[in-house]
Amino acid sequence: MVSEHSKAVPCPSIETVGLCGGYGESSDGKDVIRSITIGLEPGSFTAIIGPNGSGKSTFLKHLIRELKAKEGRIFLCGNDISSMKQRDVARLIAFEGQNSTCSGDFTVAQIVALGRYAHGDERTSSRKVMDALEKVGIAHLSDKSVTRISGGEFQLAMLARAICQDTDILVLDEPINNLDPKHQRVLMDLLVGLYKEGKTVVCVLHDINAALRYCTHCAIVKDGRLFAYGKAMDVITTENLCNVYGIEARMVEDPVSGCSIVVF
Amino acid sequence: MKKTALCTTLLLVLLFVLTIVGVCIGSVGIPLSTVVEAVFGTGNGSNASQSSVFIIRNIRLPRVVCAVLAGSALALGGLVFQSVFRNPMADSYILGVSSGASCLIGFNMLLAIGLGNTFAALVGSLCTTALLFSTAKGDHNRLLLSGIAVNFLLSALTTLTIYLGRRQLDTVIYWTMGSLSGSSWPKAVVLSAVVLVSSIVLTARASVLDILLLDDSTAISSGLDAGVARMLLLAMASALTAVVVSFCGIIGFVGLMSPHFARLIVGAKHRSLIPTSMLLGAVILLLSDILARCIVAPSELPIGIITSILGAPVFLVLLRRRRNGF
Repeated sequence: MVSEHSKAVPCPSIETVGLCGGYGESSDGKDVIRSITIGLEPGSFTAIIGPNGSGKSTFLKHLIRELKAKEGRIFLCGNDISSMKQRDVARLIAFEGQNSTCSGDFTVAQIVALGRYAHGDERTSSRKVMDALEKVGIAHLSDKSVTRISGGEFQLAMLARAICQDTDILVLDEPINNLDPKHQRVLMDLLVGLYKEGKTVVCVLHDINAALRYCTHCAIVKDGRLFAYGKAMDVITTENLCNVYGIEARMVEDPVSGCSIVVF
Repeated sequence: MKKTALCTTLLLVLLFVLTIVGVCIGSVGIPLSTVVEAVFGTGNGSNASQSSVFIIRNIRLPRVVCAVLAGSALALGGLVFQSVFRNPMADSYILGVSSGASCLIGFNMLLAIGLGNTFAALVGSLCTTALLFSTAKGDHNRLLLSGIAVNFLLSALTTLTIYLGRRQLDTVIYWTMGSLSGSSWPKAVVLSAVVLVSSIVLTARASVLDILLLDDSTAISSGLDAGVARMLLLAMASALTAVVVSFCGIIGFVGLMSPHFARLIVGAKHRSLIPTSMLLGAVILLLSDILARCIVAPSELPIGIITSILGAPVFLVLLRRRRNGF
């Protein structure tokens, strides 16, 4: 991999320049995402928020090169992904989707080991697999079939698979949607731990308060365009939320923690 | 691992026993001592012995070897179809890929186009697979429904070739109902080459088949160029189907049953599934061939009848139990 972005300051983990794209030709001739230019700092935890259908998941699919950009460029750690092999992309960025499925009767450990495919050592990485399982707190399920665990446990297994991929960037699409409050907190604390270790974590969230509480940065996407990006506290404002979601939002103080909470 | 090793050993023993039975049993019963004589080149040189040795070396042995290889090829093809389409009911027979191969063979013979039967079968199976792939778009139900529709169409077209070319009726029936009676050493050599290359390539890339069982986003983000991998694997499965159809006709359900039984024994990992499925395919087809030769001896049944009688109930059980894909 040849670095194409030589800058004096450390290059962003993820940088998109004028990114446009979507799923084939849209009926109205518009791309799902339109001219998104953004640079995410290494070691940051960024929430991507926005209404349904605004293009958040589509943006992520471009980052992992599931979808090819119609216009614009994507750089991961300074490398233009359009000229990279898929394996090389997978050594930089790991992904957990909102509708992850597995059609095989694998054990949890076997699923997690598939995260090592890009490194070519999926058969000799049992230590890494166990580390990832311990990290997400499901080491006790390692020998259980994925068809016999709950939806939440499966989601954690898929997160462990992404962690096992051992990349600098971790991208998650609505990771807490199917989890109970306890597991939501466990997962978000885990993601905080990962970005504090130096990884760049990006996740699409619908829970604005989770974004406010856990994330360092926030990007708001509306109608396929980047509406706002910056520090989470600066971007998640009542004005921006009203503009983007079209409903009134209030910011109140949690009487116990003293933190700000958004109430719609 | 112990369970896997035990099952593999048992299957190998079963295959060995069936091979001996397959060589001994037929329209002429041949004692085991003559079989040993034929295989190892010993013997007293009597006329009876010489004719038995001839039967064994030129008819029985190539037939048994072809059954083992064709069964392995069908199982391997079925496994690839199931994994690529993420559908436990996918199989070259059910999806109409075999019918595509036989249909082109039928037209090739009827119209005397001059293509080799194997090449015609390859074109037919590849075109059918491409049609299914473009129609299914990852939807399990759409795949099965498309397969059924395609199967009907291609079976009807094959039947059309029967009506239009009555002189070749027997030949076309041979290809549409399956038989190992045309086995020969040259066919066994071609089959062994195809099976050997496919099994080595697939075993080396077994993790690709594992990853294809995940959803597209996860597969791609794991580092797999899923689109290219699918196309190459389907081409390989189609080629396996085409070679078997061109040599033995359409033999249904072996590709469906073998990977399914193999999963019950060794789980979902393809590194173990590939050899176990192949062994099971070989055992099922060899057993079916022996039954096809014994049930109405000295005549014989088309082998597709036996495999369908064995396989259709398995398909129904799979349909009933289908909960989580595999």
